[in-house]
Amino acid sequence: MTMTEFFSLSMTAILIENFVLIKFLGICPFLGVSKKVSTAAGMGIAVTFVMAMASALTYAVNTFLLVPYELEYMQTAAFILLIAGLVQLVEMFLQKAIPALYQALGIYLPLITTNCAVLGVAILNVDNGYNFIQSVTYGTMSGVGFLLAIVIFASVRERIEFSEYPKCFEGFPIALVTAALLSMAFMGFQGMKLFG
Amino acid sequence: MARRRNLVKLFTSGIIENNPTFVQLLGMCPTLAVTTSLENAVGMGLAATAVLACSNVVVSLLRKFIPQKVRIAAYVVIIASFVTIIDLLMQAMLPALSKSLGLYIPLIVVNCIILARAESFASKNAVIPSFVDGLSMGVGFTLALCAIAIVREILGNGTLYGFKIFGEAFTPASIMVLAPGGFLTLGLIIALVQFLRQKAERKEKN
Amino acid sequence: MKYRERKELFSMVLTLLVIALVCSSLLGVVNALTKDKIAEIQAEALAQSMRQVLPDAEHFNEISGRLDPAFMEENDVDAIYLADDDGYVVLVSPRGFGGELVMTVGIDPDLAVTGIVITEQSETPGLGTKAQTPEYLSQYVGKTGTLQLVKGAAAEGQISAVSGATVSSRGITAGVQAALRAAGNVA
Repeated sequence: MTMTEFFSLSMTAILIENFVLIKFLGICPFLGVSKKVSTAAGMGIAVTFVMAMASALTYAVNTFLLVPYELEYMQTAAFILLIAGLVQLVEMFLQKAIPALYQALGIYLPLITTNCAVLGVAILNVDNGYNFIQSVTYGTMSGVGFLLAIVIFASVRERIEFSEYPKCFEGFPIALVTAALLSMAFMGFQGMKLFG
Repeated sequence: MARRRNLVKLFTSGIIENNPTFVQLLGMCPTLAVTTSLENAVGMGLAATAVLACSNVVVSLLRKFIPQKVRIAAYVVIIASFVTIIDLLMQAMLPALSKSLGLYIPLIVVNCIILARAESFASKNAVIPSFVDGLSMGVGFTLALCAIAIVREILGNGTLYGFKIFGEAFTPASIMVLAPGGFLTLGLIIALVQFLRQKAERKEKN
Repeated sequence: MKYRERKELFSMVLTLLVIALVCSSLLGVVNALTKDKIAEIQAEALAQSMRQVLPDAEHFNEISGRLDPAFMEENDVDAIYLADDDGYVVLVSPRGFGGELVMTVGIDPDLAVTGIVITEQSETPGLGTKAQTPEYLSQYVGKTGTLQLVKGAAAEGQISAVSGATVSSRGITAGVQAALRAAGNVA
């Protein structure tokens, strides 16, 4: 993969086809853990990490196991099991190796299994026919896109706490209206063509 | 008689007071992604309902055999199998719908509603109530999707279930079928639900 | 205590294994039942789009092997078929506004476009989709050689882009151009 290809794939994943704001993947953690910037950043980093690992692993399983034995129809089941196992392993590894990071990310890790962005990126990698390097790049950069979106969103929400709005908008509704505005901003990137 | 009344109550609870989308706020990804048209919403809702009802029944049947520690893994395997079956059946029977829902059919696996019902209801209750619970949550989910889709399709495309309902002079607000419209519609509907509930609470107090 | 722990572990692994076995065999059965039907539907959809762009042809033979793989990669050409009366059908997937556009392009023996069918798209509804109407696509029919896309009114031999859907129009033009080139390469 050349440098321009890398750049173009990264920008596509982060801005043009942002997972949360354009593709609607990973909405649950996006809305659930975005009340404070620090926790949002923690969640974003954990998701990015798992998405990168999951992209690599699911690519290997798909290419060396599912395709040769014509088991493509087992894709969903195989991928979700792999992701669940991966999250568990990462959790155990962090607990032993980097306790400080585990303390910071610990509570978010189990939630990542049911984050559809992770399963989504694994399936999209296969659908788009990406090779190993492209898959890992796309996975990592989509995670970065998620991180970017959730951190911006959380910083806006922190401020909204102090503003006045109708009582019935408390909680999710005002957050969703905020997300709508953010998503509108990200739509500005759509249709951008990078280097051909 | 009393048992039957309980089941009816159980059935309506998932549709209204415990609506998975508007009250419990679960399963947001498909709620936003597939509600660009009523047809997609109905298809997604029914597919999820089928998976919910089936997985609830199986989880309830196996609730005494599955060891506590590995229950989540077991549920995930069961759910993933049903999702794949539905996916394959839809590809064979309804290819057009399956194509337009695309990625979001396999993603039913990670729809939190299904795992939440397996964990909090089906693993503790008998088969029939579990089935009713799954059905009721599924119908509640479907109706919620339809409500959002109706708003978005009419405003954003000027059609309902694919039929044009306005004259040629109507210019649809495309933003409603794009991503921002999804967030906005869901936000406004939940605000409306909260408004009605707050109003009802105030009435009770007086 | 040791014994109980081991027994517990054993029962855990066994239950999971049994569930996984039952589930995967069930999936195998459903897959075997639906596989042919799904393949049939996909083949039928492809055949239908081919008949639409080259109505007179009956048999289509894939001749993608005659194209240079690097050329196909570069121009987003997925496959090329030779129709029985010497026309070509080319499957291309250029980039539009919202993602890939999957198109089937028919080309006659004189290397002029006979028809276009868009089978998959994710363009903006109401804007980008305006560049997929039969009226817009009919502009390409009969065109040959190098296509010229212009904004505003088109002169003879040119194609007028849909205002508000320039990127989509460009994507479709790039796809048709790639198809023409591919047909020229195998002719």
